[in-house]
Amino acid sequence: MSEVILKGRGVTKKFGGLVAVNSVDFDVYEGEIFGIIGPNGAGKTTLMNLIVGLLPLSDGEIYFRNVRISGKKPYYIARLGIARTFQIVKPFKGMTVLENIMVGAFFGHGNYTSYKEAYERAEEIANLVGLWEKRDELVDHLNLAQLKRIELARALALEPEVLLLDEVMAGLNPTEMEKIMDLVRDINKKGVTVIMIEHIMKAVMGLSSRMMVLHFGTKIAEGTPEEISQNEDVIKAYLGERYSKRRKSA
Amino acid sequence: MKKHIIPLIFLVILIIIPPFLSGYMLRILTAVVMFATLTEAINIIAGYAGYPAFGNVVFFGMGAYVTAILMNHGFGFYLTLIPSIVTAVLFAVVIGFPVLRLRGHYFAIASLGVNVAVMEIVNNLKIAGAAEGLTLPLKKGANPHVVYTYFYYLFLVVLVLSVIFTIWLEKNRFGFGLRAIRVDEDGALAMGINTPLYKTLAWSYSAVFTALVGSIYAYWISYIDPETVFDPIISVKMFVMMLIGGASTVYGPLIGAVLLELIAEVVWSKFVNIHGIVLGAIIILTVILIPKGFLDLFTGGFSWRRLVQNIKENMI
Repeated sequence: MSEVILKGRGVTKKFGGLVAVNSVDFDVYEGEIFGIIGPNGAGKTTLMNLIVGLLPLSDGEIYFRNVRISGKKPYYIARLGIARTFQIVKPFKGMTVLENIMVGAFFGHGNYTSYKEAYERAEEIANLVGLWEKRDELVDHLNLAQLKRIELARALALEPEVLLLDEVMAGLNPTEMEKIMDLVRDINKKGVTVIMIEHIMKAVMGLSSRMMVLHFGTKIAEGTPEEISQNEDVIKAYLGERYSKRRKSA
Repeated sequence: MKKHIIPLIFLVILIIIPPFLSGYMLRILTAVVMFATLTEAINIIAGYAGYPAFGNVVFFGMGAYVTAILMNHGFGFYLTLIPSIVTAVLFAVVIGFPVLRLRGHYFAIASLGVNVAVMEIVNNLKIAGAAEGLTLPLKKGANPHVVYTYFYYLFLVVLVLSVIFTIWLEKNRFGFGLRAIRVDEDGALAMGINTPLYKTLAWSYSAVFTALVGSIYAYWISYIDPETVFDPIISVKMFVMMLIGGASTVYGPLIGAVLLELIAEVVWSKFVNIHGIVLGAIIILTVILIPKGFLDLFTGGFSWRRLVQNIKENMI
């Protein structure tokens, strides 16, 4: 197996008395698509915020290629090569599609410092994510599916080694979902390690090589999609105790 | 390049016009140029970076006082400009570090508080003449018109510099960073933007131009006191001009300065008793009808439908 690119040990986040993420260990290997699933409030997005540095850890450590990134500033982590998308899309309103992507190109791992370089890079990415026709429009006029693509495009413009996707499928219809899944596969094929947080099981199951399940902030399972779908604890967490018992007796 | 042609024509007119103006008209034009520069400066922090720096006049006052104090100690005017800039930038960095962590209204209030605090300090500072203020050496010239033309050109030079800076900002990585910060600071952080550094830099650049204008103002008026040069009303005026003209655009602040200064002049002469009410009404109407400023009206084209749409969008 290839090298571990992102490693978490005892990652914990407490909000007052509430333990949102409870001593989670994880290893993400270079080049894989790693899924993180769990019911609402399981701590998925919090975990992502911890990885990119938007929230400070209460305890534990996170490493990127043996460099400790927990405790570092978000912009430092982003430039190091870890990009993310936001579940609640955060487009830079008042700017065009290309300008939005240019922000990523300017400040990312690729370090495009001139306007021309950043512009050309943004054009390539707009083409890649299927926003070419919309490139000169203000993002204010785009629909949700397009805004999710903006999120992806901006993150890609950072030229990350690890891409964290926070519910890119949520709110999309099946056709749009299918397209985004293809896109994620393409991105992964280009050598970008992808970590996907999803609420929708189908999307992650179809894409991930390995996954981890969070429930009330604790890791309850880890493995291939097949292993996860057979796991009793996961079924209990998702479908309830009664369903699990009935399934066993049947 | 095309959008800079009309401004260039205006610049040429501004350069050749002084000999043809009466003393009164030249004074009004000088005030317009001065406020245009101040507005262009506040536009960097409040327009592009979206940090409502309601206390920006503090840099104006500082520039004025540094120049006044140094000139009273025998320094030539031009020699006082560098210390003026350095003081303002140092202050922006030192105060900006804690204050720029606040967002929205909180930052607006904090920056206003900083301004008032500095005004009180200067009020009690012996070297600055305390509350009595300072008199500056008069600029010598063949006649008053020559002297006033000199100050007009000084202001004009700083205005041109601030416009060039803003044009550069529009197409630059730094400007993109600021615009991202304005819309969504968390998003900006996640995009690899060092937001604390960028905000402090933006405020420092804003301080440079504001302080320069303050320095020239002090020499121009030749008498300053804390109540005048730290007057929060000046900040408010910069803000209103920026909003009326069009925030985070290169030329919007200039249009705003011209319009407000001229409207204020006309309103003041026609409605002596109620000029405040009339001016206020005009400002409210502009903000409701054309929230993006007059520049948007000029470039986007005028239509009644857009005005109606703006009213609808602004209803709560």
